[in-house]
Amino acid sequence: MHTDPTLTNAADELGMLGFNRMLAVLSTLLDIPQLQLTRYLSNDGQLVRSGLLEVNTLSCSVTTLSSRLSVGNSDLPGLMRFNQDEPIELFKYAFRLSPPGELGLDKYEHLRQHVDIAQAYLAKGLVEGRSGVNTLLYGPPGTGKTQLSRLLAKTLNTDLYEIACTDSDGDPVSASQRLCALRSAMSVLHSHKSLLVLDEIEDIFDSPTPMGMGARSKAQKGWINRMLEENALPCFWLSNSVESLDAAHIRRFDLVINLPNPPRAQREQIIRECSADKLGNELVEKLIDHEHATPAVITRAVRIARSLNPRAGKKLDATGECLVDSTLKAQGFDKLEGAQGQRLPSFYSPELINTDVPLDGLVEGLRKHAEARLCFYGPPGTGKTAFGCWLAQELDRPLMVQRVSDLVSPYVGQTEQNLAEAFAQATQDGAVLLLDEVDSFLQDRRKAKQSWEVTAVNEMLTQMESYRGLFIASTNLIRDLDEASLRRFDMKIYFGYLDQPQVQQLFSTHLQALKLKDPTKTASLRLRSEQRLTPGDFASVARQARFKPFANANELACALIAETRLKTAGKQRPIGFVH
Amino acid sequence: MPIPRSLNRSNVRSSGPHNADTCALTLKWSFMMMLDLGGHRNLIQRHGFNDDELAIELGLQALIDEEDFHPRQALLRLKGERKLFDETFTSYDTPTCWKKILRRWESCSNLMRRNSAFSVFVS
Repeated sequence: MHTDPTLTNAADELGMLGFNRMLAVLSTLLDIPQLQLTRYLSNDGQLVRSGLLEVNTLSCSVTTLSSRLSVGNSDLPGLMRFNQDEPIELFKYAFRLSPPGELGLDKYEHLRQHVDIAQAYLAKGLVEGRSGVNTLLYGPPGTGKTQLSRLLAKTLNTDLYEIACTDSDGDPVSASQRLCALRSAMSVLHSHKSLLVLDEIEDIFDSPTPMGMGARSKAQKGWINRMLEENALPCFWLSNSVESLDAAHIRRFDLVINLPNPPRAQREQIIRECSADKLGNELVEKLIDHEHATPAVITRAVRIARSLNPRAGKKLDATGECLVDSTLKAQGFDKLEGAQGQRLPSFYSPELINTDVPLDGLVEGLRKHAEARLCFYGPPGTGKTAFGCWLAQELDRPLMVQRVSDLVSPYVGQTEQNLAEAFAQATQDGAVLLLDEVDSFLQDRRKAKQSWEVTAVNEMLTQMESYRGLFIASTNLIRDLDEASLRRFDMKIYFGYLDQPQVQQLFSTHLQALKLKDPTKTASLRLRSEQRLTPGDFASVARQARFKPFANANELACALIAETRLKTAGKQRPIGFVH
Repeated sequence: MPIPRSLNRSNVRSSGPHNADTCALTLKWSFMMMLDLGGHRNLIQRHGFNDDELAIELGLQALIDEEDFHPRQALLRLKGERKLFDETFTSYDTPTCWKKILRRWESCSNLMRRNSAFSVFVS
C-alpha cells in the first residue's frame, strides 16, 4: 500500500476510517477473522513488536487506511522490493554496525567503578540472554558517551549496532520512527547477541503531547516502560540531560551512568595526548582550567588546527584557541580567556592584603586538613577572591569559582540543584570551591518573603555541612548572612583596606610595572593620607594604563586618589531627603 | 503476479494493469475495496471518476472521456471488469517478487507466514 500507487489510491477511495472499520476492511481483504487481526495489530503482535508496522489504534480518530497503518521505516518498502543483499541490509537505514571505539579504558579512569560494573553485568546479560538490560549514559555533549558504549562492546567482544538518527536522504527521523527501528533491531538481531545504542533519546522520552493526543502519549509511555523491562538485547540509551526523563522511566534502567566532563587530571592527560606536544603550555593550561571544554571539543579543535598548521607554534595555538572559543561561545560558556579571570598578577603576594587575623601557617594547616569552610568578608576590592585563588595555587588544587549568575535560576528548585551540582563537581575535581558574593545564597532567612528564598539557603547550608573539601565564601555584606551559616564557617576572615606600608609597596610595584619613576617620592607622599585604598584600586588603575598610559608617577597617584574619592563620595552622599 | 503477456487483454478484459508494478493481487484487492467495501461510492461521482488513474487500472478507461457519463453504467462496468478479472485469475498466490523477499524477511525477523502476507499488503 505504501509503494503501490494503485493500492494507495484504492485505499483512499474508502475514505476516512475509524479503527473498527479498518479492522473490517482488513478482515475482508486478507480473509482473516477480525479477532485474529486485532491480535496481529496489537502492541504484542510480532509486526508491531518487530518495528515493521505502526498502527494508529486510537478508535476516536478517523483517518485513511494508509495513515492508520504505516511502515516503521520509510526506506523499508523500497528496500524490500529492490534490495538483493543480505537480509540484514533491509534494515541498513534503521540500524547499522557501529564503528570501533577510539578510546581505551584508561580514559574512563574517573568512572572506573561504573565501567567495571557495566562490563560484568552486560557480559552476564549477553551470556544468559537476559531481557530488559538497559544502560542509561548521560552527561554533557562531548564527554565520551558514544565512545564508552563502543568501548564496552569492544571489551565484551560483541557487535554494537547504532539506531540511525537519519534516513537514507540524510534527513532526521522522528522519535517514533527511531523506536520502531529499535524494535526492528531487537527482532532482527535477536540471535546475534549484539548490543544496541540509541543516541539523543531526549525526544523519545519528551514527545510533545498535542491537544487530544494525551491518550497516545500515555500509551507510548507505558509502551516504553514495557520495552525497558522486556527488550531482548542489552541497549545503551544516550542522553545529554536526564531532566526530560520521567522518574518512572529512569528507575527502569539497570545501570545509570553519569559522564561529566572528566576531572582536571584526566582532562590534562587527554589534552596532552591529543595535542602530542604541539600545543603551547599556556594554551594547554587554559584548556585544562576550563571546566566546560570537553575532550571532544578539544580533540576536534586540535585536529583541525594541526591540519592547518602542522608545525607547533603560536599560529597553531591561536587557531586551536579560536576554534575552541567559538565552540564554547556557541554552547553558551565563557571563552578560554574569560575563564582565566582568576589568574593572579605575577607580583601578587598575600602580604599585600590586610586581614584581621594573621594568615601565617594557614596554607600549612589546610594542607594537613583539607576540609575547611572559610568566609572572607570585607569591602570590595580588598583581595578576597584573589587570596582564594592564591590559596588554591599554594595547595596545588584547581580553583572552581562560582558566581551568582552561574547558580541562580529563575525556575523554582533549579538554584538548589545548581548549588548541589557545583559542590558535587568541586568534590569530583578535588577543587577549592569559591563562592563569590555568597550573601545571595545565605541571606538571613528571617528576612525571606518567599519560600524559595528559604530553600536556597537551606540547600546551601546542607551542602556546606556535607562538603569534604575546601570551601571559601566571599561577601561584602556579612551582616546580611544567616546566623546559622556564620557558625558553620570554621574561620571568618576580615579583609580590610591596605595599611600604609602595603600601599607604598604596591605603589612602587606598579611604578615598576608601568615603567614610571618617582625619584623625589612626591607621588608616594600624596598617598600617605589615603585610608581606603585596596588592591582592587591598584588593579583598576593598572587596567586604565593599558589604554591611557600614565605620563608620570604623579598621574598614577592621582588616579588612585580619584578611586578612593569615589568610594568616599558614595559613602557621604545623602539619600533622598535624609540629611 | 504480473498478468502474463500471452493474455490478450482486449479479448479477456477491456483493460488491465497499465502500471508495470501492478500485479494481480493488487487488482484483486482494489476490486474488493471498490465493490465489496463500498469504495465505488467515492470513486464513481456524478460526472466522472474521482481518480482517473485508478479507473484506468480497473479497466474503466473507456468511460473517462465519456461526455454522457452515467454513474450507474460505470458501476455496472466496474462489476463487469471484476467478473472478467475473476474469471482470468482464479488463484492469487503471493507475487513471485514478494515470495523471495518474504522468505528473507521471515528468516531475519522470525515472522509467521500469515503476518508476512499482511506485510505485503501494507508495503
